Amino acid sequence: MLMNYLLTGKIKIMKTILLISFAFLMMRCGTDQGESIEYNFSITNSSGKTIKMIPYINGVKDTNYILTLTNGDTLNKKYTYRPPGAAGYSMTQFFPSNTDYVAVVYNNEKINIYSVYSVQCNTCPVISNNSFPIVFNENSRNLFNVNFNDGQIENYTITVDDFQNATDCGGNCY
Amino acid sequence: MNKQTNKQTTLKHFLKYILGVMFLSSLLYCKDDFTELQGEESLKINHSYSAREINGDSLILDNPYSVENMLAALENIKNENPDFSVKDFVIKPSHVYLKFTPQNEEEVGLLKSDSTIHYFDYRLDCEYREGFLDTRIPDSDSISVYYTAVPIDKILPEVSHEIISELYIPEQDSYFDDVMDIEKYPVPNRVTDSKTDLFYNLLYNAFSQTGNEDDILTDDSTSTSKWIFGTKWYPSGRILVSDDIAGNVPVTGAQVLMRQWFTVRQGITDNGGYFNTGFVRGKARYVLQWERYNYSVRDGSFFQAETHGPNVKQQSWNKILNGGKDEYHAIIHQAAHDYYYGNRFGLISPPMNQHIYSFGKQSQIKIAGRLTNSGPSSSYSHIRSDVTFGLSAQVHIKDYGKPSDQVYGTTIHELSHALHSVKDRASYDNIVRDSFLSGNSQVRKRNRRLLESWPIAVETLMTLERYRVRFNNPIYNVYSSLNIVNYQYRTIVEENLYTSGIYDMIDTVNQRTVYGSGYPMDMVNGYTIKELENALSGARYWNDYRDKVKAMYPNKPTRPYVDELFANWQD
Repeated sequence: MLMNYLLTGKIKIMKTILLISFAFLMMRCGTDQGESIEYNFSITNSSGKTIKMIPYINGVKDTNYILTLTNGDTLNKKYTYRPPGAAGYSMTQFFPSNTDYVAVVYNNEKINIYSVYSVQCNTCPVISNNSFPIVFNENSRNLFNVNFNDGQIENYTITVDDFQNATDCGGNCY
Repeated sequence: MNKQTNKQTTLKHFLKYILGVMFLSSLLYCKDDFTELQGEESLKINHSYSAREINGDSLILDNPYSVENMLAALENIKNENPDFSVKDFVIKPSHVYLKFTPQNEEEVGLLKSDSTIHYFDYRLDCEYREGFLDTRIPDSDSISVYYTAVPIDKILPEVSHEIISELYIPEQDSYFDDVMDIEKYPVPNRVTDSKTDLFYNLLYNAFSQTGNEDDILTDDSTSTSKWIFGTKWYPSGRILVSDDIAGNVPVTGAQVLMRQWFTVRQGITDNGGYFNTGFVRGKARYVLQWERYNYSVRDGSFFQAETHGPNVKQQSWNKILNGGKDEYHAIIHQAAHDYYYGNRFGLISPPMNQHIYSFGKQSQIKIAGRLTNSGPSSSYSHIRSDVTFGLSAQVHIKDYGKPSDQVYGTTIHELSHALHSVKDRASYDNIVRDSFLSGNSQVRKRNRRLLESWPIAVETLMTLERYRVRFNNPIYNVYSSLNIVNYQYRTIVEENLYTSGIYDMIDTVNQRTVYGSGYPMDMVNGYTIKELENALSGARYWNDYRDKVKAMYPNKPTRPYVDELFANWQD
């Protein structure tokens, strides 16, 4: 009898605990819960030259927003993601909204134009009257290559090799 | 029989216990609701009428419209005018001033089911220190009390209430409908048989004997020469909001109340942000109350969000809401208004006030405009609201200080969860439960992906509609400061839950082509958001939803690519 009572009592207590736990958990069944994510992105100039980074918005150069980095300089952006919305961050955040190309000009001697887009895209905005080659985002040295844009901490370093491999503009990069 | 009764009693105790625990847990959860409000001053009542100076936070005024005061005013007129000969005029209660104390959300719903009654969560016969209403602290962990004045014969909702005072309001008495409009009526004046003289002198006496005569006298009145501003005037104006993306743009569908003691006139802003209300006489205060029949925006978690305008005579109110709570509440209101009353692409409405759904009657949706953008994120939960008897709002927006398009989009996002929850409550609850409580991470992911990708689709469409179409900015993308390009510029690795997958069935962009490898392959297009909403019925997880879309729309040209699209995001 006592055993029975103890057993039944324990079961009841267990049921109560389970039900209360369930109710407690249901209380937290709101949408959009989740951890925040910290992003830390940077661009470092180790090219040996002063560089200017000029954004293009929908294919049009925006000279109002030029970033200048002397050799050794680092630009840094931090962002905390909180739901709702898509997590992630990208190097485009250093530039104005809708930036789709960025020209990296080395001391007005050489230039690289990096595209946000894939080479496959034939509907994307293009830069009109552009005589310099476009480096699309499949290129591993493109600032917008997926490898520099899908982590929480990303550092893109502009190297001496980047300068060496850039296109000569004969002092007329702008 | 006894055994059964015992069982029932035990069950009742048990349920009470559970509810108690849940309630306590909700209070813990909502702890920061209280800390976000500032100031420690409590309500201090000062009964000094002479100067109407507020020493504390508020001052309860002597009520000129109480029947007692009006009777005394009439008696005074009769005493001072021995030849008074208006025979057919009697003062009797025309209105009652009420305080409602709803006990739960259902009772608040009963109050809000009659849109002809305007409620305020502060007294109507009280003057408050500037800013007090914006920073007050909730009295207790309870539903707000509501004040209003209604005609004496109005059938009241069955909610606990007390009559604070019986009123006689001459301005609303049809007996005085034909009094003359006089811009400057001298007071006190002789009263014999003229209704016009009686009307103005009655008001003057009632207001002056209660220490409120400044409310009705013209600005150029002196202690020896006094006039009542007697002209009817029609409050009007324009409400704009300083939108971070679109600039100064009209706030549409906002409820502007013109309050003069117990008389409230209502106007709704049109597409240009313009409004007009019914007439008032004398001084009245403009109030923007961020509420419509189906939803109410709360200031923080508890109080009705309002923007207080000037207390004026014959002046329009043209306001640009720029920054702070006013801008925040305006944008949240705009999103809710567009969703409930604007172009929502044929979608069903989010939960509608007093609508009877298969799971029961829905009350007005409360959207808490929380003044923070940290801590737990914005959310929707009908359960949280249900088990706290409406103490906690169904929707919490926590984007204070963020760009307007994000505040707008987040509000749409949360209301899209709400829509999902009334589209198919059983499936929705199942999805939510498995999204958070399943022990299997794959199950959690496949449920959560469906749960969150649906509102992403609606928020993208509606935010684009606002900025690209309504405000004619064809290059706008969701969101301007995040460079996510309508959720297209996000790698598969980075985001597994808040995916563009459902929106991708509508748009014509293939991310893989545009941005290359690492981005979703999307060859699907041509579905409408309404079709995709239809497929939510019965869908319990990501691939289940995919199969429903395919089964419901077998003739879509891009149907063969649906599997590939959904497979971008793995469990």
